[in-house]
Amino acid sequence: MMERLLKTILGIVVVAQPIAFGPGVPSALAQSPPAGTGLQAQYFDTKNFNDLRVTRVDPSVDFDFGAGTPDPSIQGDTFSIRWTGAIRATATATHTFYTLSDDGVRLWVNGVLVIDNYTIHTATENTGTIALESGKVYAIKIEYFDQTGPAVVRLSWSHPSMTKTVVPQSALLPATRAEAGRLLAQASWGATETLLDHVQQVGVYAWLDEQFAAPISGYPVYPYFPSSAPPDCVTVSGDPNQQCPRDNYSLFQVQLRFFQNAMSGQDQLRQRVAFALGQIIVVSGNEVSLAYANGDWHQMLTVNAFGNYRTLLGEVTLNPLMGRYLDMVNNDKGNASGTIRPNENYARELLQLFSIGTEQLNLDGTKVIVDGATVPTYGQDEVKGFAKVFTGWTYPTLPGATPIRHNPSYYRGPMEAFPGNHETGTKLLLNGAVLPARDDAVADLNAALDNVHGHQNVAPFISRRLIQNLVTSNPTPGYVARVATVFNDNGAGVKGDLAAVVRAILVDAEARDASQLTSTSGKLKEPVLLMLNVVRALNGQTDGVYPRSQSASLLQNLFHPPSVFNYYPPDFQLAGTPLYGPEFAIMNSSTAINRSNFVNTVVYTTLIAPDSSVLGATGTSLNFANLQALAGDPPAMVEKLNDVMMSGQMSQAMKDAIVTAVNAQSPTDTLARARCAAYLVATSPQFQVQR
Amino acid sequence: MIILNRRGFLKRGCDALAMTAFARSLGMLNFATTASAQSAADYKALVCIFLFGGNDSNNMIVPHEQAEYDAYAAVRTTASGINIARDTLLPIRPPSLNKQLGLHPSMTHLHRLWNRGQLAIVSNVGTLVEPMTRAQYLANTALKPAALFSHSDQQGQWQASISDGLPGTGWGGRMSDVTWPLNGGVNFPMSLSVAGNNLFATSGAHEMLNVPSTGTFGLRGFGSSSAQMARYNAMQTILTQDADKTLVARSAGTIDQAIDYSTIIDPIVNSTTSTIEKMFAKQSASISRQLLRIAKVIERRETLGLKRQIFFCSLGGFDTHNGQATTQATLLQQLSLAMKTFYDATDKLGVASRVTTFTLSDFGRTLQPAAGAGTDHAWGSHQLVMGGAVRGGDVYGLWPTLTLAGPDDSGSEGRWIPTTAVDQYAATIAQWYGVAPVDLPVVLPNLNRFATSDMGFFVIE
Repeated sequence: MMERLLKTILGIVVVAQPIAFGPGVPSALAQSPPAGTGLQAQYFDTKNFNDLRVTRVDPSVDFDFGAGTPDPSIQGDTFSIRWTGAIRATATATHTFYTLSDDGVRLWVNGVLVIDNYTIHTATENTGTIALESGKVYAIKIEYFDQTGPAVVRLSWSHPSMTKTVVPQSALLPATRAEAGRLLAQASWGATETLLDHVQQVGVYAWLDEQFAAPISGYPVYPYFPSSAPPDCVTVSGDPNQQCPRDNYSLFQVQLRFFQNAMSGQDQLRQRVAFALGQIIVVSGNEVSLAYANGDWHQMLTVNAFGNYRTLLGEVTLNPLMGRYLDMVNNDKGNASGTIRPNENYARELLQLFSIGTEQLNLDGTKVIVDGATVPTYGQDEVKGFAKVFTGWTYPTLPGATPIRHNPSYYRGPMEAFPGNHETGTKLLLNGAVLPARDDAVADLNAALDNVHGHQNVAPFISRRLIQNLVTSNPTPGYVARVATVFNDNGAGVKGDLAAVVRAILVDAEARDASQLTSTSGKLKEPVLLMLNVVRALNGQTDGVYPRSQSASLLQNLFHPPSVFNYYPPDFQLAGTPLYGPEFAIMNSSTAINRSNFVNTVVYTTLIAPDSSVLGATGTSLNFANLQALAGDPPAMVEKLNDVMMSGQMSQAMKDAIVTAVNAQSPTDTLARARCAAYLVATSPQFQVQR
Repeated sequence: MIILNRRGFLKRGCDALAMTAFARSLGMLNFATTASAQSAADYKALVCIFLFGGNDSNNMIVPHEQAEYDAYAAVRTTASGINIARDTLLPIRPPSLNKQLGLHPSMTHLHRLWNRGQLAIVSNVGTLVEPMTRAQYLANTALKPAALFSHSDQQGQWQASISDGLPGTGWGGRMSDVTWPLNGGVNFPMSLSVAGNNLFATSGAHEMLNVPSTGTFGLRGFGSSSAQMARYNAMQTILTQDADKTLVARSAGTIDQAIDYSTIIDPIVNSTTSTIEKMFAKQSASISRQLLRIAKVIERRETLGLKRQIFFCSLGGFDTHNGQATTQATLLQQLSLAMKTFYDATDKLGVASRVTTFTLSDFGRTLQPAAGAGTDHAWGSHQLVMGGAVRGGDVYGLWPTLTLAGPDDSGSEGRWIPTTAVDQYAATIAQWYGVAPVDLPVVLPNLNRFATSDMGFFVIE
């Protein structure tokens, strides 16, 4: 946004257009902004905004720390504080801002540097002025440092009809609307007006804290059914209580639950991370379509989404659904004649897809190059070693049954080691490690997973994939390195702390600071996310039946990826460019049309009828009431869509195009006007690419 | 012939329905005026069938001579669950090998095509950086393809025909670049996929068209009212905006192309007057539906005015780590029936010798069975080439020695080191398609590392 900043001189009035962070983005809202709560504060234990120690929302900026410290974790001198957020003007007037500070301070309002006294000095008042409009909300940022001695910082304001006073809590919010919108695009199933208000009021950090603590929506324990349907498992047409094959032998209920969780669950970020993990560590309903087995699997991912990656690898490895999908279940040791040898499937894909990839990586995710060539992380010998490790396991024993070498298929609980079926020889692992010869399937498995988790690739490999899924397809190496560093050590010496990793991804400047956006930033929304974004943003409701039914035609048949390589590969390249765009692998002329047609159906159908065979079905519908209320003011209507769907990033040209089209709809048909605008935003590539 | 200029005539209309009608009328007009001018002799099409997962070609084509079969059965024992009984094999006798082989018993339809000389086999072809022997492989004295035995990498290398660093384009896409002038200024995409995006047909210059394998293909919700036209125009305007944002622009380009070309292609693939549709009537397998759509586009080739077309379709599920016998039998049966029907359709359309169909697959699979009655990822494999221009009924390339740790094995599980490079396989096909010798290095930059660029499986025209 720097190129958009007006050159200013202290004390000279600068007339500003109301903008949020981000180039030329108006933040003027159709509805009144939420009640003020204060500014987001970041406290650093250096004077240069390094070593972040404390984040909190300060109700106002009015501190006299004396010779002391803002927080026990910060030393009494050489600290710095950054306050960010939004300020609401209460009058249309030239506002005067005052800082009283010891030492340096600078203040930006609406992206304009209004006060700049970033020097070492005793308590000094500085002033600057800027014209603001009543009721509008502007981005604000204060940077302050204390060198030595007393530490004071205070922010006040005045205008012709208001005497100088400390800027009150009621005028301050810890996040701009655009900041809240961008966070929700990355960390939820899509912004809603309610969520935008909330994030604005609590700020980025507190919202993340809430998310890490939110109750898990997850999946119920679906009842066990044998692999072959019993004779009384039948369908009675139209009776929601008589859909045994669909409800137990397909993923139907699991899929509906997914969409219902996404619509109403408080644990939005956990769901996003679980979905991302499920696209790194892949099973598919194409192999086993039992509801209970898949429900347990997705519950496992959800529970572990903020857990430890090593723990997750352990649970994944012994999950019988994975065992079946990649053939670790009933994987026998080789026979004496050599005509059977351990199956390599799980061994290979664990290494290639779930943990380290095929090439050695630097911490920043770039490939290690030696003598001009990449360096393989493993060869066929290591695959054979791991294949031997993963022998001797069978399905969990059915309750009441006697364990045998190949238990019959059963997907509840972890796989079990069957004595005498494990390869007993030595096994070559990664980085030259060798397991000793022993008949101990459990010890071998744990040691082998420790070996994998200990590999230097895991942090950059998994960090990059999570960044790609949540924030941007082409993270800079620095971004990957910062996150991978947290992956390797959460600050308490623990590797693989996913909550810490996810936090690092989302608080990173490359995710948060819109001024760092480049021409190649962002990611294409995958179909499931796109559908949910539309329904959530447009005050809709769905029981999941319709989006579930559409996911296949968008090439993201929910929980049925075509192979262990997921719906799309992480390294899909945009033709003719060096850029990655994973989701573009399933964006083609056919699915592009289907994406637009999905929007057409939900926008132009009053109610996609409830499926009478589904218990509690509500169908799918949107609610345009708040847009219709603005039908006489198309620019305001478009601004509301810009706010909730595009984080305030819509260009003026795009607004103009939509307003023109809305004006061509009947002035009295408010619904047609609302639908027209909603259709145009929801089908636009500007909305479908998250930036 | 239609000169399709996307931002030209299609963009002047604002009413999608009218546009469709307009395109249709042009198509019909075109039929009437240029059919004679465009004789079948001017037309050539390639159909790539990618067998995703890595087809176990060791069981697709099995030794039939008793001694060789016994050696096969000693590795793939009956107890392993993946043995194919000798008396169920469909015998073939390729003249160049002078010995009997057997096709997988579920490939009865392709067996007939083999017997009629319209199906050829290219044996032990695969990804190579340069020619390589077992000794070189074991001693690391020749360059190996990157990430051998990995699905994603080997799929990419097969489609790129480059095994030392993926170029971001496929050999089909590069073929389309160098043969683009053969389409005489028609801007309609040369490459059409009914199986989604793929590296094979990816070009840095020309976007492939993706058509769904079933159902309608077209934007819904627009009619001829002024309100709808206003919305349509706004949508088109928005697609031109924010072009400085790379991902937005790429997405917009795809949507834009889809809106334009769906109005042309949908009436063709959903035509109810096709003369070959009923040939596929009882076939519900995906590969049949895909090949039907391709056949219908070929049927209406004059509408598009194209003289060269590249099609991509696929059949997945070949990653048979377990339970291979049933799975592969089903897939090969689907493939065999669909390919034969497709051949017959092109024959009926009078273009059997103008259309060549060929298979690619990730890799072959270990000759040695894996626990679970399956096989693991391997390397060199046999591929199928079908068409009236193919010198069928023979095997091209070198037949491998099917011995564990034998001269063709890269290890000890039967992972054959290819004796023919994908580059050579591709070069033979590319030259038939019309890639000039001078352009071969553009399409296949590593071709000169290998001895021959024409394996001879086409009839000399």
